[in-house]
Amino acid sequence: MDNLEKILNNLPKNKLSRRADLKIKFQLYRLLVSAYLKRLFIFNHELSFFNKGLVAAMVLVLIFSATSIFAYASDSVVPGNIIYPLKKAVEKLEQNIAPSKTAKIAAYEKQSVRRLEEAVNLSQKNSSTTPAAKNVKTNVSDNIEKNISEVVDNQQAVLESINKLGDYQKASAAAFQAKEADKAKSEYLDKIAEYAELSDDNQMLELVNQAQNIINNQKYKYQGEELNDDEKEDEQEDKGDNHRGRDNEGDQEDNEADKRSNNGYNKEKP
Amino acid sequence: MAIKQDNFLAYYNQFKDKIFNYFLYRIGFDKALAEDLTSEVFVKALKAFASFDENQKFQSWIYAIAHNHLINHYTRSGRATVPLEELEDFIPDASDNQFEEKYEAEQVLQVIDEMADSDRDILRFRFVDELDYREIADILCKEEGAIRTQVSRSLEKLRQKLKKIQEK
Repeated sequence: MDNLEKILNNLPKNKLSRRADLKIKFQLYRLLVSAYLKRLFIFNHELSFFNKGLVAAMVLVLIFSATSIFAYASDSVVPGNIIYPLKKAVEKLEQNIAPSKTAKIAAYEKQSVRRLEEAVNLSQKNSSTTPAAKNVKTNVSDNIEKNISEVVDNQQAVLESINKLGDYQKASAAAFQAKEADKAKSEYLDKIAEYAELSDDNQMLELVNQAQNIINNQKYKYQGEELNDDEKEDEQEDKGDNHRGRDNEGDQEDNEADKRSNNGYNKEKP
Repeated sequence: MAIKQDNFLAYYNQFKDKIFNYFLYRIGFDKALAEDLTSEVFVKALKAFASFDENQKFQSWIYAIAHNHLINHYTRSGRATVPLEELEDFIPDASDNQFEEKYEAEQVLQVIDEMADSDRDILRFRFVDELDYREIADILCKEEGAIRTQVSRSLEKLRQKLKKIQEK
C-alpha cells in the first residue's frame, strides 16, 4: 500500500451532532451559571457574616459605653453594685489619662468626693434597724469603711502630688482647690457620722473622726514649704516673688482646721 | 475568572469535533458513547479550567484530559474492538472509482485496531487527531524526538502488516 500516509491523512472526520452539541453546551452553561451564583453566594455570605459581626461588635461597644457612662455618672452605683467595678475602672482610666499633674490631682479629689457621696448613700441604707438586715449592714459598713480609707489614701496622694508639682503657682492653686474639696469632704463625713450615730455604730464614728482629723489638719506643702489660701492670693498679686518667709501662713491653716474640727467633726462616742 | 470562563466556551467550539473524533476512533465508532464521553471531558475540563495555564496549549491540555478519561473508560468498560459493520457505516459511501480507497481505509483502520497499544495510540494521535509531534509528546509525557521515531516505526509496522494482508 504505497499511498498509506495519504489514506491515513484522509481518514473521515465526523462532526459532533447538533443535538449533542446543544446538550453539552447546556451542561456547560449550567455549570458556569452555578459557579457564578456560588461565587455570588459566598461573597454575600461573607459580607452578611462580616456585617453581623460588625453590628454585634458595635452593639456590644454601645452597651459597654452606655453602662460605663451610667456607672461613672451615677451616685447610686455604690460598692456591692454589679457595675461598680466598671465605675472604678473608668475612674482609674480618667486618672491615668489625665493630661497634667494638676488634672491628676483634680481627679483624685473628684474620686474622694465621689467615694464619700457613695458612703453617705450606703450609710443611709445602713441606718435600717431591722434584724433581718444585720448581715447586709455588715457588708455595707465594710464598704463605707473601704470608701473612707480610699479617701484617706487619696488625701496622701494629693499631698505628695502637690509637693512635687514643680511649679509654686500651680502647687498653690492645686492646694486651694484641694482645700475646697476638703470642705465638701468634711460635710459628707458629717452626714456619715450622723447616720453612724443613728445606728449606734461606734466603730464607724471613730473611723469618721479619724478621717475628719486627717482632712481638717491636712497641710499642703510645696517642696517642703507649707501652702495656704492667703499665700495663693499673695502669689497672685506678686507672681514669681520668693514665696519663702511667710511665717504665719501655716498658723492660719491650722486655725481653719481647728475651727472645722470644733464644729462637731470630732464627735465623741456616745 | 468570568473572562477565563468565556474563553472556555470559545475553546469548546474550537475543539468539540476533534475530541468527539478522538473518542469515536477509540471506542469502536459508537457515536452515542463518543458524545457522552466528549460531554464528560468538557465538563471535567471546565471544572478544572481555573488550573489551566494560559501559556500552555489548550489542545494539549484537553487531549490529555480526554486521554486520561478514555483510560478510565477502558478500565470501567473494557476496550472495544472495531466491528467491520461499524467501520462500513462510519466511512461514507464512495463512488465507484473511490470504492478501492474506501476499502483500503477500512482495512487500515482495522489493522491499526489490532496493533499493540503504543503503536495504535501513536498512529491515531498523529493521523486521526492530526496532532504534531510536540503535542503528542506533551500528552504522553515523552520527548518529541522519541515520538518522531515511534511514529516512524509504528507506520512501518502498519505498512508491513498491510503488505502481509495483501500478499495473502
